[in-house]
Amino acid sequence: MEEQKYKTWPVVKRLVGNMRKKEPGQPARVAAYTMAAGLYPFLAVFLPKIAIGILEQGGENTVGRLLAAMAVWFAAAALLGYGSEYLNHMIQIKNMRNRVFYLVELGDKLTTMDYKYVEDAGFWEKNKKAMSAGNNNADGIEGVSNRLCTLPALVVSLVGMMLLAGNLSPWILLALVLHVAVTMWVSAQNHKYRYARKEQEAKQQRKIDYYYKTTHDFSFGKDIRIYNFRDRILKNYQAEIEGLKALTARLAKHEYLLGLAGIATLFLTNMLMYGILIYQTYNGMPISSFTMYISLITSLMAYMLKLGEDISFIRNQGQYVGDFFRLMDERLEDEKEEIRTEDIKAPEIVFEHVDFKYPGCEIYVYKDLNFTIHSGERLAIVGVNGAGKSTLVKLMTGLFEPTAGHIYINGTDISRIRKKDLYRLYSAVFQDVNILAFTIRENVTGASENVDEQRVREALEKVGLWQKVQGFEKGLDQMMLKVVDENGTDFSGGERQKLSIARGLYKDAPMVIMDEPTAALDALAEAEIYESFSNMVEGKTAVYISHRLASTKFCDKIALFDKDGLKEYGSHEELMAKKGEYYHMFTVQGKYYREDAVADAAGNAIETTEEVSAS
Amino acid sequence: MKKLIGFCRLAWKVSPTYILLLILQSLVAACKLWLNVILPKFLIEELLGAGDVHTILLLGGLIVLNNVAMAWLEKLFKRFLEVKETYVHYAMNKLMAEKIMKLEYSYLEDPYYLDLKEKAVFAVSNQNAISRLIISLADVVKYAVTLIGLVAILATLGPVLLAVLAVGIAVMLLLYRNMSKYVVMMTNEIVPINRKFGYYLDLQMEKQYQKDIRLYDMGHMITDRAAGFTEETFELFDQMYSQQGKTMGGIKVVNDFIAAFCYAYVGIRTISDVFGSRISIGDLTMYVAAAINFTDVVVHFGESLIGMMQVLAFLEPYMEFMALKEETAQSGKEPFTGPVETVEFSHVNFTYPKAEKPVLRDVSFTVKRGEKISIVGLNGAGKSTLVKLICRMYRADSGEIRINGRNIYDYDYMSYMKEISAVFQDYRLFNFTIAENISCKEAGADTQRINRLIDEVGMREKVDSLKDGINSRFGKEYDENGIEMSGGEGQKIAIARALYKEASMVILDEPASALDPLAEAEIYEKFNSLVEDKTAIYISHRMSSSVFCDRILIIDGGSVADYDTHENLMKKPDSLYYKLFMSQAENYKLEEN
Repeated sequence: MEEQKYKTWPVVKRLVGNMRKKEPGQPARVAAYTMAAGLYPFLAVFLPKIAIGILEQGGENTVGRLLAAMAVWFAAAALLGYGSEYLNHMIQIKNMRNRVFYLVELGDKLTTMDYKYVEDAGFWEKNKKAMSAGNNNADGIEGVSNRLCTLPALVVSLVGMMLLAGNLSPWILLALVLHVAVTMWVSAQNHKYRYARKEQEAKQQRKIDYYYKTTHDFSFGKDIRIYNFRDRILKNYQAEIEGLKALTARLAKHEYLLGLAGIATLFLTNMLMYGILIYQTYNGMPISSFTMYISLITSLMAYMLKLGEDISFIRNQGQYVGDFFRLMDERLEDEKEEIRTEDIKAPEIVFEHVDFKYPGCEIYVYKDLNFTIHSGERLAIVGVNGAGKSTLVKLMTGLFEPTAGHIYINGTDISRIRKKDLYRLYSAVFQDVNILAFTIRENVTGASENVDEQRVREALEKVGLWQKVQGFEKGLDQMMLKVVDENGTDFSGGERQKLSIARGLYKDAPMVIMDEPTAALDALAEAEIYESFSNMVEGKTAVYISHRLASTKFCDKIALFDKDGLKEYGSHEELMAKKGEYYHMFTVQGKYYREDAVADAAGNAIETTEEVSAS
Repeated sequence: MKKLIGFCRLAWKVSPTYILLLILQSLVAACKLWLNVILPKFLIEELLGAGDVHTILLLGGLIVLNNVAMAWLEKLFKRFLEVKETYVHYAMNKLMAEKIMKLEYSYLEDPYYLDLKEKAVFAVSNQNAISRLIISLADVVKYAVTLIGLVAILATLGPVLLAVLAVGIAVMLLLYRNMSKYVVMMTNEIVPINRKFGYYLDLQMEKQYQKDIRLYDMGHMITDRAAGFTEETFELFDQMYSQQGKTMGGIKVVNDFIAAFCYAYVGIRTISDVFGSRISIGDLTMYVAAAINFTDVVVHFGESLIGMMQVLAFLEPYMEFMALKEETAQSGKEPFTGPVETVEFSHVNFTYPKAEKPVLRDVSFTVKRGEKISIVGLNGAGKSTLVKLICRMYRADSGEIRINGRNIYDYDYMSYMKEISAVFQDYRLFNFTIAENISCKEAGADTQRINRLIDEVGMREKVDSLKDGINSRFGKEYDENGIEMSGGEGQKIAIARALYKEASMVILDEPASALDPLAEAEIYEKFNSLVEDKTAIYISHRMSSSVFCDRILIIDGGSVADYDTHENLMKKPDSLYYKLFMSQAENYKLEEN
């Protein structure tokens, strides 16, 4: 049903192969289960035959024989029934465990693949189904594994039952096959019909979901109340639900009408079965056989349907499992020869004729960008929103690759350097701080082992968090966040930012990047961060990105970007003298600080402003 | 039971036909089973006895008809029930949405209710608890009706079989109970570990973390942790499944024993009258079928009963949430006719629910009509809290907020809110058109006014670049063809929305944090003309914005530190305001001349 040709068999083979490797006990369990569960249904089928048979036979000690037969039957049933149930549970739990490890493996893959995929919506869209094959009990990897493990037993039961039923009348068998075929056809047609309307349904669901999310996300609460959006939202919400209801009604009607075909064959099967059985019994077949055949044929029908369902389940879900395997096999990390980056201190970075657009986007962020970050320089990158300041970071750190052109680090094209080695060069701090639910130590070091305690302490001291850390009973072992440990702690915005700077300090990479680290902070916290920056960049190359021009004060050079790329480059003094865009931005942003200072200076009220001169 | 009734009332409110259909379906299913137990007896008796062809054909026909007609009815029910189920699922969600929007705002920031909502949502969405509850309720009804029918049949055979059945069933239920106790115990242990595991797995998969993970090489740390929790989880899961397997096996054994016993006992009854009058082979098949179905049905009955209780327990947060009080904040009766003449805080103290430290301490100040006030303070000083108090999202613990001389809670909520407009730092736009987001009206908006505001907040260029102009739908969640906006653009729309509302007071809490310096300066310069003669309160970390204001309220640690004009405040070099201002001004000194 999907565009890609997919074969079930290789997927099944690989799934089973992995299962045998990871859970060596599984084949034995499945074999034992097949024996027990394969034979167990026959006990139920034969029970009336045995009991009524003895009664029909009559004669001496009927009661004794009946009791003995029932005792033997019970012993056999107890053994097989108990065994199959227990084994089935054990098989299932192993499959579940196996599935979860697939999931962890997938997670590992996702954290190591090239970053460009992370931001590529197409990648996630394409692989959504593949990933979903790993994350639920009922479908995908676990569902298919479970069905594969129970299939042999089902086949054993079926073959036996078909032989017995065929013995009675091949016509009944034929009618059964017809009924099962029609039922499966109906289900396939139905699936097709629904599949064709899946997008329509998903679209409608998405609209409902939007209202669901908007209302259930408490952060919308303020605006809903202030601007009185409630009735409006409820009205639309209801309308979208009605829309889905109407669509569902169409689907259900279609399914119902198709299902009538199944009713017809059910009628045929029933007519044949009762007709033949009544006819034969009327002509001398014992009642014990009559009851046996009824239960046999009823079971047979159920088992045939189950087999059909299982097979189509394995085929359908196997496709997603196949997608999962394909994703795991895909090379998402480009492999390169090893170039040593350990010796690099204070790197020089050169952008040469760089063009860049995000994957799947039409619009170029840069066209023919040329510029150099000199070794040991502190560069401020400023510019309006949307000028591509953050993209620059993603390019030089290798998170993304230029669409055309080259970026060199100390003369080496970074496209030749392995990502891992490239990442090693940067200590980066972003506006959105991600504190993870690990200990403070782990948050600073990014590792659970081989930690240099002394340096962790130094880093925290430098950013002014050491005192706070010492305040915790567990010190560095204090867990962050409450998700994992309810005694976990959380920091204020400024402290979180400091912790992430400590992370950068501990890493002690030769190049420091700060990308809008103070946007959400108050003026004093902002000033503290600036100070940390100066501490951090001693003897390193450093880039500070901000749309606040304040950063330019402690940087050697300024690069101003606008929508067309690099617009101005130079020191603060040079750019101010130039009276260009930078000068404009600086004066606009600082206008009121200055006018005020001017006013104060004029009034001679405050001595500390004396160095501020009127312009 | 009370909970169950409460729930039924909710479901009935959403869709009475759904409940009726389910009950009808249950009765039909019970009827089918009952006929299937009884009809074969007569057929077998006729076959063994009189052998009248007409009667035989009639009975055979009835059995076939029962099977086929019932199968048809099942499909018919399924057709309508699917529609109803879909509807009820979403409608119950909507009911909760309505509740959320009607709650007093303070609940929405209270971690307890946030958690309660998460639990309710988890039960409803993830566990599908509502549908499951309704279905298990219908099952309970179905199995109860079936049981009554079967007991009626079995009772005619005398007490022995029923007694043995009762014992067998008691054993089974005991096994079940022990198992479910065990499962609950294990689940309680597994859930927290599993949640942790889920967290680390999410870290691996969620986009926002990926930059950090790569640049700081944290992948191993996370994978190891996830794998570690997996091992821990499965140690418990292994035990639990093993226990479950044993119990389920045990139940099968009891079941098989009952079957064997039935055939033995009822068999003996056909050939001897030790236990009572003799019965026919036809009776035998009927009694055995009834007995075996009986155990089945009792087990299912027990299962659905337990299932119902479990789901009911699951749904407790949902029910608790739905029972929350609505909007006591809207208690006032006096219609507020506006405009705002004075806003007066008088010794206001405030502590967030369940917080230890007060956020505001003895805050008093007055704002007069048309004044522009800036509130300045460090992060966490309580600036946004002030705003929430004015918007009646929280009630002061003590002290009073008076507008035009009266306590704000004296006013009728709707008329009061009409006069107050706000842009919050975490403003939200809706997936409506740009025009609707600004006017908050579906129809009858003043397009000219919208366009003027778009010009003024500097969105003209962007809007003109859109195919549908102001009628472009914002956001991609509702409609994939919706447009996206940057944080700065969104903020501009939010500002326009606040100004479109014809309120006499407007509050702007960090309204320009996502704007670049030029846009920010532009907005600030225009503020005074934008807000016109409205009373305005600004909050901003950009100290330069306070230069525009008539007076500045300095909040330090929850108390008013100062309330004065910019000029006067700058004369106090020790003050917080001075420090804050200068720390930013420092960076904008012009040195070139």
